[in-house]
Amino acid sequence: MTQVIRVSKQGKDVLTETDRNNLIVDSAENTFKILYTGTASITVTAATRYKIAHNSPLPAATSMLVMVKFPDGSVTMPSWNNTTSVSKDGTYAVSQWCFDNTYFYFNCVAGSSYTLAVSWLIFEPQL
Amino acid sequence: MANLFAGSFETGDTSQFTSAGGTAQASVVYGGAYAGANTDNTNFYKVLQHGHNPCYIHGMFRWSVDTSTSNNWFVLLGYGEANDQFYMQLANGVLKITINATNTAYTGHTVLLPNVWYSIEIYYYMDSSAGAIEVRINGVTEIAQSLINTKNGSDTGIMKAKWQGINAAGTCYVDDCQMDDAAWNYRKITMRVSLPGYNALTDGTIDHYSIFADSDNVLIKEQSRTLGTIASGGTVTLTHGSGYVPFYLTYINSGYYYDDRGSAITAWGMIGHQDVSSNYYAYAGTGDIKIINAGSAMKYNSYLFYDRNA
Repeated sequence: MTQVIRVSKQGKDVLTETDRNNLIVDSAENTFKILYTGTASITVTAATRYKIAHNSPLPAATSMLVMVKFPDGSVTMPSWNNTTSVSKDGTYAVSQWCFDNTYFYFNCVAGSSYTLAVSWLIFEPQL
Repeated sequence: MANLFAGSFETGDTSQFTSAGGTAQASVVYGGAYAGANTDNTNFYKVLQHGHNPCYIHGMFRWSVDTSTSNNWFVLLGYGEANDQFYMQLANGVLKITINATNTAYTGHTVLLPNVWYSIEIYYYMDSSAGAIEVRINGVTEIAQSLINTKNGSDTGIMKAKWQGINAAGTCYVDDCQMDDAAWNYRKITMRVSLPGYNALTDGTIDHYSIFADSDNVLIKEQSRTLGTIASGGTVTLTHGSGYVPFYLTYINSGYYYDDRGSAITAWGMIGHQDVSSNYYAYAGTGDIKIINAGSAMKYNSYLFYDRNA
């Protein structure tokens, strides 16, 4: 019999539960890990392209999540393609986020002379 | 509608209770620095200002001796303003609750082992015909009855509770005694692994934990991960077979991106559902994830999780 460590949700029998969504911890499954978190503040002087060093601990990062905070306080996950992500007040916008092994690249397509707050998570790489 | 009583013994004595025959001690505790200890027929009890209906009564219990030899040891008892309402006992290692109104007993099935802390809690709704009881061990229902007579005499609610545990040689340790008129108060048996420098018994900040299983908001369970190449005009189907739409993350390594100077580069980006300008997109169904590529061949990277998204 395989030995596992499990914690179930309230009211669920940890010995018999088969729905993985009712198990908070199950050592039989990999729990997806965030390897690195980073933040940066970018001074946007003009509507043009920028880059940020993401400082990934991996030699070849392949998965990340990014969130940006505009000066009006609105926060969004920026678009990774040509669709623009616009602030709540409509003044600021970014698009075309991507990353390589060293940098994030993105396009500030609206607004100037403001600070863009950026935070990101870097996940486990492919095996 | 609130917590009516919380007896933690953290004062180092039994002063939180109306009366106590047991003692506070620091050798065997469930949480904090102190717990109660009852020996043969000693107990802790609390009297509220008036009766409450319904009433939840909780306690952590741990026996130092083999409970399979138990002979109707009193564990939890409830009283109304004037009358006895119920008494829960440990008989041959399992819980048994007797309702005084009808002198009817209901017996559980879980054998309580020695030297293990158990969360034991009863919900008691007093009514002569629509009464209800539920006993939970570690948050799991052990005994449940409804539409029964739970009203002994003219009492209107539970006013007094007694935490005992043992009527023989040995010790029953007691901790986290609670009375509430609105919600269950049991402490979950959980798992915590704190980061270096943080106390897993007292720290409440999730970011300070590697594992914080008190809540299901940190860990997501991975089903598979795939790194491959999707052909020009091709479709990749990743089967998950969940029967529901799972959480997933998908990325492509595309030459459609630009660096900070506006030069085209091949880089990674996360992709979602199709929009007006993308040559590639992904979407999830109850059986699989599909990645569509209307552009040139490119690498993709996808993670599938067991966690339900929709």
